[in-house]
Amino acid sequence: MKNINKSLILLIVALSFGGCNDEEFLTAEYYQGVVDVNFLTSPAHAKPAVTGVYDVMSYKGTNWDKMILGSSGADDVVEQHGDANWASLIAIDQYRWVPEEQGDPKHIWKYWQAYYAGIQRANLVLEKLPDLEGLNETLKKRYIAEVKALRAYYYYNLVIAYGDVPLILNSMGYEDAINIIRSPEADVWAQIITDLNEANVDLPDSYESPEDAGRVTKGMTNALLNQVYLWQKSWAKAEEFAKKVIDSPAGYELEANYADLFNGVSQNSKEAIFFGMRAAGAEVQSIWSDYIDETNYVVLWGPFASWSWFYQPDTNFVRHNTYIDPNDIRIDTVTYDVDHELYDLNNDGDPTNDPIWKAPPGNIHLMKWIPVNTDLSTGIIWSGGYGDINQMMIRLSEVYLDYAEALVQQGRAAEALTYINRIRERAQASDITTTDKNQLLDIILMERKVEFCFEGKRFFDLKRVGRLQEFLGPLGWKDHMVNYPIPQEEIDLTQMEQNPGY
Amino acid sequence: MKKSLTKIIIMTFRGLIYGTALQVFFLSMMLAKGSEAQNIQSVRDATISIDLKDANLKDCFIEIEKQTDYRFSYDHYLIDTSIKINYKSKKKSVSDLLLLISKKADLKFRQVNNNINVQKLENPEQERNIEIIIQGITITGKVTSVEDKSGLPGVNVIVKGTSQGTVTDVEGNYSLNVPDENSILVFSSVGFIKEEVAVGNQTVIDFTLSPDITALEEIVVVGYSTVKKRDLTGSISSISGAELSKTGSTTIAQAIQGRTSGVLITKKSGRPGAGLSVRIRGVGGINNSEPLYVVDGIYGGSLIGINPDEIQSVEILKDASSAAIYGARGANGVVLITTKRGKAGAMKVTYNGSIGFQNMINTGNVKMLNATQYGEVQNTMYRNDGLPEPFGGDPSLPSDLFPAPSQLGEGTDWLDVIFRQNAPIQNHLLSFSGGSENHTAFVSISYLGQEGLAIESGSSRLNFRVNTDHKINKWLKVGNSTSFGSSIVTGTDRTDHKYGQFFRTSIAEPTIPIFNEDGTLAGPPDPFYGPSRTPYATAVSSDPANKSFGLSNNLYADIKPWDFLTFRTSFQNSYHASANTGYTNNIYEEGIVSGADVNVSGNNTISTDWTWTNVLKFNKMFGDHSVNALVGYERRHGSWNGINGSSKYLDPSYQVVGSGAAETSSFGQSRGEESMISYFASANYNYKEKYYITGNVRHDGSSRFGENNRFGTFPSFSVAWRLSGENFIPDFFSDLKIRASYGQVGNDKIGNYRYIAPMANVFYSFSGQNGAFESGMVTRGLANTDLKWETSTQKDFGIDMAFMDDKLRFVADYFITDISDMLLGKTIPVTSGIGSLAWGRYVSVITNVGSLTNSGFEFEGSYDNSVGDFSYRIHANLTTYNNVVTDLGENEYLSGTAGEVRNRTYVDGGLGDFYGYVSEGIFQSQAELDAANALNTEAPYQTNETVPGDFRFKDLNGDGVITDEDRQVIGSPIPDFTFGFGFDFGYKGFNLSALFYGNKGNQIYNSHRSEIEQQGRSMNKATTVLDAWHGEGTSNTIPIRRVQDLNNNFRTSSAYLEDGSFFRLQNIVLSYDLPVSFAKIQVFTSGDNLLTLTKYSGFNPEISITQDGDYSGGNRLDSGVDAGYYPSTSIYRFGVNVTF
Repeated sequence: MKNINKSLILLIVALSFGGCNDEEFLTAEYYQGVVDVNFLTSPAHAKPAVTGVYDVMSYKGTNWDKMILGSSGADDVVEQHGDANWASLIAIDQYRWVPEEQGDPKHIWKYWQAYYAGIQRANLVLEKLPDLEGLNETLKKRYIAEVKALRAYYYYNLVIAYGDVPLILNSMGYEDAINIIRSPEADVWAQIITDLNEANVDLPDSYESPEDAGRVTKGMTNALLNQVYLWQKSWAKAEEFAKKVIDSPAGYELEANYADLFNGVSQNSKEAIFFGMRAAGAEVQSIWSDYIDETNYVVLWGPFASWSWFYQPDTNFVRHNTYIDPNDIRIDTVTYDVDHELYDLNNDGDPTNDPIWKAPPGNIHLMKWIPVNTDLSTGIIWSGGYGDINQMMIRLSEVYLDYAEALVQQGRAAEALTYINRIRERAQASDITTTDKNQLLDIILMERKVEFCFEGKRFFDLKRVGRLQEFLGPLGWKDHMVNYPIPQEEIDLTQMEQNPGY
Repeated sequence: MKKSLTKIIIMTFRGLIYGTALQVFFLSMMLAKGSEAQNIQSVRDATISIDLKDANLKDCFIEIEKQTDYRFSYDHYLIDTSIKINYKSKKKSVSDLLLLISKKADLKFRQVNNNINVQKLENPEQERNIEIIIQGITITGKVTSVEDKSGLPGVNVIVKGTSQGTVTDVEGNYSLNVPDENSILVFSSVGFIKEEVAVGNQTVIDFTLSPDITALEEIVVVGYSTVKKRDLTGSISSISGAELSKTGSTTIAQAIQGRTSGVLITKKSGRPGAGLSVRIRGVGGINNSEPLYVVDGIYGGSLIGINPDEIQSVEILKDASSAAIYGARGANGVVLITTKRGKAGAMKVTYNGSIGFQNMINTGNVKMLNATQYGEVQNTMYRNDGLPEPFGGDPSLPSDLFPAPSQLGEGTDWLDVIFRQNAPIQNHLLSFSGGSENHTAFVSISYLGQEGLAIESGSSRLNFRVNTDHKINKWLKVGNSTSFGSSIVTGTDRTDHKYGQFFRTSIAEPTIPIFNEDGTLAGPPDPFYGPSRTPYATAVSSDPANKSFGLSNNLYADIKPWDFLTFRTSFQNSYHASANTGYTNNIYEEGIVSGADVNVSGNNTISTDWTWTNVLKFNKMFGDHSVNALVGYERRHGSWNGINGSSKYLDPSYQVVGSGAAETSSFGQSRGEESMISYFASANYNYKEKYYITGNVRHDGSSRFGENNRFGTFPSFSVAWRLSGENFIPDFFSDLKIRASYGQVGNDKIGNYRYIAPMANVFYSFSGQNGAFESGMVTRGLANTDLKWETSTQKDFGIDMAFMDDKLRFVADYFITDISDMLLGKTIPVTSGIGSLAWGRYVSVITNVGSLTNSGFEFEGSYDNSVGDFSYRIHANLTTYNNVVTDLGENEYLSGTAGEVRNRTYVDGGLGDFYGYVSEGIFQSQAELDAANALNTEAPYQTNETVPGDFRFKDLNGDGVITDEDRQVIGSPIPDFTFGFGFDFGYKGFNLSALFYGNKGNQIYNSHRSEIEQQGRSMNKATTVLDAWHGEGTSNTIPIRRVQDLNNNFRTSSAYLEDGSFFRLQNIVLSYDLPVSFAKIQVFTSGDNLLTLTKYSGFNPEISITQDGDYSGGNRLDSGVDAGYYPSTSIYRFGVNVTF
């Protein structure tokens, strides 16, 4: 009996040391949502995955910093005032791009960061979405096309700003990331063209539901291809794709009233080909925040900064330029003469207590993206209630000018005039009649400056047509600044090399 | 020494549980040698050297008596004087001579003890023989405890100089034969002072034993088993519950602080409910370096929440050879806490109670300006900048708000308003212990109530514990340890970082009253911080509380099929629930109220945890070879689920989250789980208690790490040699042992789910219509499936020495701990697309990179003795620290994560070294400033705005301009050494003990002083600014008062770095045992923190190395910064301990 007891005990002991499946036991379930390893394993992930690629269009890097690099870095904005809080902005304006552009908010870095974030998100979708089962094939194709178009747009913005940039087409781990090197510009352009052509096939001309207004269309890919070919100086190709946009079944047309493009009256304008969509969210972030919250409340920093005596229009240009037709409404629409002190930020009845934001009377401020009917005398502009105006990244007027340029370059000046004058007519300016090629090219460049003033296009236009030295040299621009410097932090963290001259 | 009730309990229980088993075991071995081995020698064994020539019988006997203890008894008629004996011997036995005499004289001898009877041999043919009867006196008696007169079981009673002895029974009774009345009995039991008594003519000897707190360490708890302290091969500090209990402290950590080497405990805050930080052996690594706590076999928790009076013992496993049995969780050492268990016998009731009063320490160190002084300093500031003086000198300012300084009077002393004196603290514990031989139980209930120094703050804690043991039959024993605790912490300030309650109170303007004339709360004290409230309004208009409840339970069954084999299976489970509520009513009469008025928040979390442990233990002696071994297997699973929410209301009637009237509400939930599987084995071998070898190994699998590295193996080995067991070691060593150990342990304290990358939710509006968003899913981080534990490789060399019959003891250790594969965040380039877009920041991926080395010496010594009724013990310890970072991967340096970074960690430097400018004092004159500005033609030396009276920083790179490049490592938050020493004096019923503690060689960044001496800002200042620079030679330490700090005088620099060394009277206790017989009653008074000697100018130098910088959320890299923490307290207590 005693022995039986002991045997039993030993059996219990032996059993106690046995175990169930260790690996299963050691797998801790994660309850707080989808994680990397099971992302895009369910059809339910597809739509949010694509939305995530669009999401970068709502950060400062793709908006405000694009404006800084394209406009402060050029001659749209030449008056920068202020203190150390805005030192990095002033450094861009004054062509001290390295190393002054070190402190926050690091415009060159943020521009880089935002577009590469978009590329990473796109890569992940393009890697996983094709194998996803259970999703409607047509929808899947369209999603893939949307993402490819966005990837192309992001690379386009990178390559025009920095030249050679790393061409990354797959998701990467830490070891890959720290070994990143730059790829030749030509490879990046080739990839952009490939992505856009592939996207073009599966994208619709337009979406039926207004809920999808912000999605990319054939119009966007065609417009971007047109611009890509302008950069390549492939005038016929550029012409071809611009024409496709002009003739699009989507029926793009110029907004009748120029001001309505920016003041919120015509949010989803028929002139828009590609948007950065803005919508006021449930959680309104203070304008004083140093960041744009992911809830998608977007502050348009251009007017904010301008009204804070930074990012101000070039007075000489907007008030004294002889090119501008006296009847042209455009400059007057988007600028505002300050004749008194407006601000009372702390509501204490005394604007002198707001020294940082006090711009003297006589300055000119930006009116683009300020809602219609804003009472400019009260300072309500600072309360955070604006900034929800959709921003057109590509619109029909730009394609008209692109088309005109492609035609002029091919010696078809007469045809080009039609499109230049359509824009001028809306602006209530007199028609252009000259058919001299060089004069017309100058005019097109000037039209771009006026039409898209402060929108972050000017530097890149000048770069594309090779006239940076002519316009910016007097402002302090130097030859090596044809490309922006690669952010130093990124060079330190990877195997990339800096652009020459920095 | 103090003889408290709890001490008795602890001693007794200790004796019962560990002592009995082991002592019986060893005694039975001794007794097996039989009773002949007495100090009375057999004549066959006793030797003499003798040279007899024609000696008569009587002379023979006299000669033997001379050389031995024997006495001959005989009748004179038996002595035939004609018989002559010739005998020569050298060291021959007495019996040889007696046998010769027997033959020659026909006598026979009978030895009874030392008497030798001589008788006529009846029959000469009879074989000559000597009858030897060695017999003694039978002594009976009862051994009782001196304190409560109860019988002590398991006491060894041994005849001195022999191995003859016995063990007392359950009632404490014994019976023993002694050779004669000259015998001396030695009474000994684990935990009691060994005592001797002469037998004399007594046959009944009742004896009482006194507890011996110095000899407690005879048995120590190691992982999953126990071992005799003298057999330890690793480095373990053991502290008895009695020792903790007698300090009168209410938390274990505080009671341990300074008491043992190698354990660094710091308490930076006197806030109720504030934790202490515990570091074992050096300062740990970059990550969480708190040790693993195991309470009655239950993992987790901290030292808060257990009453020291419930503790039987605390063991701190310091080196890897000890901690390796805890594998992946043992890298920072292990603290094992064993609570008391029931004792067979009549029920014993114990009450320990105390009431005390807390006060802020070193209040004289920092004084703030009163209103008049404040007005004057403000005026000085404006005057220095050529501006009109605001107080009384600027007609544009309302004169009622800005009168001349002299009219401001004293104003409000906010520190005095908010921080009270003599805040009460009370502690009560009632325990019951008793049971039959087979069933015992210990039950205790305790309460701790503490009011905070700050008004409207406090904490209370209620603990309930039931420990039982049941012997079911010969081979089965079961039992449980169950505890329930609940605590509530209230008060505005649940943080100790910068801008916490103490800091805000000290800078509040003295010109603001508490109440307006109409009785409403007065307005904001400080426009610098925007809309705000006075410290008083803050304290009274918010009602935050943290409540937590914990239940833990350990059920065990011991199965013992053979004596040498025990199988223990135990199941531990615990539940912990916390509920925090916050309520802030933004009442203020002046200033701007923006947004909602009332903030309400709440969160509830429940976590559950279970562990199933199975251990098979083997324990056997093979002759002189002793083998202890165990193998075990353990599974652990934990999970938590919490919800939290907050709402803002306009109406203060709403005091819950999520009502429909809320302006805004937000909600969240956290939920997760973790698991661990462990296999472990341990073996100890010793030969003759001289040569020891121990090995441990643990194989752990953890859900916290990536699939590729879930399992890790942690081995350790140690050897020891008891030199005192060798003949060549002189006897003045009563013990001498050298030890060496090597082992590896892991640190898994990185939190859960760190190896996966959760997708983040974002939103985009495709319609562009306000409020119409679609959610998107994006990658926010990078996964690292190769993530594994930080490994700590530890080497230890130690020596244990004891002299003078163990009265003087000394232990020394040298340790080297190499922490490798440190879990460190590596920055991910944003080119990869990974980064925080919302914040425009880099994110990092946790990787195993970097290493550091902690090394140091530990010394502990003690001396115990008694002279008559006076007994005393003195003890001391010292630990040195050497911390060197040896690798940081690709990082040039690491800096802290929060706020103003004052520390940088470099390779070859120490963890969290201070980094900043070097102050060279103050520019005393324009000439000196001009000379400095002339050093570089392109730029001013400091700034264009620098004036005489501003700090001058050292131009380290010699370029004539002060830039970021002129910063260097300027100090270390890590002390060179820490020390503690103390004494216990006992005389009759009186006992006085004291413990001193301190550290030396560290610096503190006095951020608080920098804040309260700053220029500008309308915050209040310290009175030291009255002596600010105001002309050449007036000050070299406090810069000129100016409206704005244009010179950036208060950048991180050596000007605010101070020596953090201190020496403190940690604890002093005076007690008296009342001379009554019906119960054991002791009264005591104690004091904590009564005296601090330091050069440090802040409130409390106990900042040390483990604090988290200026802000919450700081980590190990933001150390040693005094951000104006809630002050530390001194406590006076009066208490009573009763047992009956």
